Amino acid sequence: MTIPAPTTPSLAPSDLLATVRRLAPIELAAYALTGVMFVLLFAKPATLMFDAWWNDPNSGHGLLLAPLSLWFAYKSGIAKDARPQPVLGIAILALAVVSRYAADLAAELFIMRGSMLLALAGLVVWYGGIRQLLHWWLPFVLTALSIPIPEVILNTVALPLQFTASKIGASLLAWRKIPVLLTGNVIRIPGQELFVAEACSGLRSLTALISLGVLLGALFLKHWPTRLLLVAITIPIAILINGFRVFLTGFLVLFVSPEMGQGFMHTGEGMVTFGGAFLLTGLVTWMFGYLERLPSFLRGRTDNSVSVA
Amino acid sequence: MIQSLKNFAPALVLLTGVSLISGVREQYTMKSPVPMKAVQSHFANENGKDIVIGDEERRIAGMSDYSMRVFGADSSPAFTVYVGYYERQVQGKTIHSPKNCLPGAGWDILTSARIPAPSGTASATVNRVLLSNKGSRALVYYWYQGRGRIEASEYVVKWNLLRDAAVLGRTEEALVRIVVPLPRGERGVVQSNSDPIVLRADSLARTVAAELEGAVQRVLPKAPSA
Repeated sequence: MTIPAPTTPSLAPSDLLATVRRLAPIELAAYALTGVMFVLLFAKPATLMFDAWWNDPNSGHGLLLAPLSLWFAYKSGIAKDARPQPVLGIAILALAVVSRYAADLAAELFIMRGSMLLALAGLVVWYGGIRQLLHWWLPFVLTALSIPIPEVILNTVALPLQFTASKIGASLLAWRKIPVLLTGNVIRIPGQELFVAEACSGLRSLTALISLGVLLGALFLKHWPTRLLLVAITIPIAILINGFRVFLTGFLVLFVSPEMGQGFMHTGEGMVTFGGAFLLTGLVTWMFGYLERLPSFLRGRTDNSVSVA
Repeated sequence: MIQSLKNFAPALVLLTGVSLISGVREQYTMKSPVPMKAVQSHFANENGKDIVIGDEERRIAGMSDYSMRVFGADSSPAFTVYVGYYERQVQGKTIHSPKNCLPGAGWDILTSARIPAPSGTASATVNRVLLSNKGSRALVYYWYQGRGRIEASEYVVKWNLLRDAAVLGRTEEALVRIVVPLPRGERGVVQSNSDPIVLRADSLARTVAAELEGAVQRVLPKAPSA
């Protein structure tokens, strides 16, 4: 998606202010009350979500995605053909409220946080219809990807992927002639046992990389098949990068210091390897963008050669 | 006027939500009346020695308290007993199932079954799992115990958790696990449930489990009244 130029009515601060000034007092009161009720109902899930972004390394990408989502929504503006759909909007909002209540009863965080996004979607549909919701598909998808997935689900999906990453890491260590024994996700090298604590954790940074794939695809690619392919490719990239992280940790622990497998050093290695994953995903995006442009480039060259002839 | 009042519809729906959640009960943190280490340390004529779990492992597992003991000779332990207690579970941060963590530590699950609890408690079940890790085998019995129940099925445990959180505001629970390492037989590594070595291990695990269920019950908070 190339971010379209804002269409009227726009979200520019000056335009918004002008729009607010034109509202009747009763309409203004309705908007204000809706805002207040939204904050009261979703303050707790919002706080819990921010807490997870701040403290959980697997959810930290939310700190980047949430502001980006707001930015994209602002830049996209209001769709030209946006029309309120009150009945559908209220239905979605009601579903969000029921979900919020049920999640609170059962202390279920994922649905609690998801209900907040659902309520936002309901409000968008109420005020601007489904077309406006679709116009803002990227901010909503990015926000959805920033909601921490329950460990039970994440580990079920990501644990088998981590097994593959561990095998890759152990193979790399063996290639460097380092004696290594792999049992599940636990790596045993001379004098050390690594990743014991993470043995039943799934692939690190999987959701962060998938989110990155969605973001880069939306920004730099035009066609849905290439965008979906880019998102799919982030999964093997995550596996490879985690495999390399396993290798790097084992290598540094053996040849530099056992402390390289713990604490800050270990976290630092994780950040460096994630940076590598970011670059690799960027490189793949660039290649796909080149492939997307290739047909029109070739057509242009063919037309030129015909005209020259 | 009516059109203007219709603008308040979203606020009204959200206000309904605010009213509903204001009546939701608080979730309680149920500290155990005694530490998990108070679980008896003598089973099947063996005395147990405490094992300390590392801080990082403990942080990832997330238990509030635990007891882990090895029974038998140091060189060839007869069995280990683990009790991990969670004073409050928030969905998304619940007990890690051994079905995930054991493969993560390199164990392949050869057979898995749910059996009646060896103590004979009505409607109580435990998991019986035969594991393999390269040349080694082990028999594991594990179950989830708390809020007056002993349950094996992860799905039933999750459902009970949601229901008790909503109705009682209580989510405390313990994961209880017995691991019996299996020695090699005369014909090499044991292969099946009918192998005499496995049958002896089953008998040992059942004996320990029958006593352990009651021992754990004594250190957990009282079951909620029906």
